[in-house]
Amino acid sequence: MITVKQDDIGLYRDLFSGYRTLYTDRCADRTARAGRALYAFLDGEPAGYLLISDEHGGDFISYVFTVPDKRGMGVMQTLIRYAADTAEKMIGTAFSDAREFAPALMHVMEKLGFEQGGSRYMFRCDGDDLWERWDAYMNKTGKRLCDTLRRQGYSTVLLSEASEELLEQYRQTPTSEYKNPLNHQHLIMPGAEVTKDVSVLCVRNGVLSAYVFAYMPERRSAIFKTLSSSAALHGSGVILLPIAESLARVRERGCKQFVFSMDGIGDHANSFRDKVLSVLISKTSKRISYVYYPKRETNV
Amino acid sequence: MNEEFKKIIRESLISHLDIDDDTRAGMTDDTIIFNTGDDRPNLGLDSIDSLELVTMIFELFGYDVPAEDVKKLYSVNAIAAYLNEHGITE
Repeated sequence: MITVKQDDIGLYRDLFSGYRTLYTDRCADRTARAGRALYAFLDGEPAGYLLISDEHGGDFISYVFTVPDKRGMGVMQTLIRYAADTAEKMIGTAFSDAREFAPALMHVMEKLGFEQGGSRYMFRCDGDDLWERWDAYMNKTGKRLCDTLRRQGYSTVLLSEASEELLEQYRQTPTSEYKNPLNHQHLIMPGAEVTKDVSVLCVRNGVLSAYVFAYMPERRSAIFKTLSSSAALHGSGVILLPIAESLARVRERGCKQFVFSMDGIGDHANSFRDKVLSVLISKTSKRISYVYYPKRETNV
Repeated sequence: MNEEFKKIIRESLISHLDIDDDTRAGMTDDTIIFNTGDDRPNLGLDSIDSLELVTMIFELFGYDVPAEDVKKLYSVNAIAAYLNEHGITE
């Protein structure tokens, strides 16, 4: 028999040694403190847990874990159903690195009335020498390339300082999440506010050319997402300039690790990842996140 | 077209863009270096390479290729022709 218990988050690490997530322990703790944790027990034995964050304007399933030898017994389904049934407002969920149990997870989510909003690739960047690696790249190549872009008239503007005219240009872009705040293709954390003084727009002659939006859920970590350039500039490498500026800003804030969240890995994104981000990306960090949303606004 | 001019372009391209020996051996001045969006075979150089190419041309010839024109620089011959059009011949 599966029972679910809501309890203090501090229990989970002791109960489940298989714990592993994209985020650091500290980040996971913070997420957990902002919400609640559910524990599942199968015939009295610890079988799984689920973390719910409420910091994005509604309940957001931020992590779910089933003990390996308890999988296939309905633990995950019970936890998710309990979370959905007890949520005041369920706004979504995302699962990262679900390679082992993604098929079961997807099945459960769909069975419970969620629909998959897309998938994203996420690349973790960390390590004691993170910024030294970036400095080495910039000194060898990056600064020259950024100088070329600046010479050609490109400049950067923080999102926090962007004019209304620039923001309006952004709103008109096909990928604008201001236009549709729950556009799942471009959100990793539905409802979360971008951190405007580390998010950067790239401009030339008053025209928006590229942009990089970043979230800093805490001072030491950041999530980069919505890395994009205008269609006419695809393949020009212009994205390097706002990325370099955004990285400089998160570094100033004391950031020690970050994640690049990229959807639609295409030629240009691959190129940028391989030629630039590869100096930052940890070798084992490639993960795919599956994002799910409820099919309707109310609880499923 | 000035062969010496093309040689400078070719050798700079090879050194700046890290083109390996095998690729280099089969490369001609008409070999397409970037994906031009059609079915023609190419060396698969990418957006960061194109920015490197623009930087290289500026450092070599003092000419700043606008980002919008990068797609015109798809081979050694195309680069040479583009530069010729803009008054750079050596």
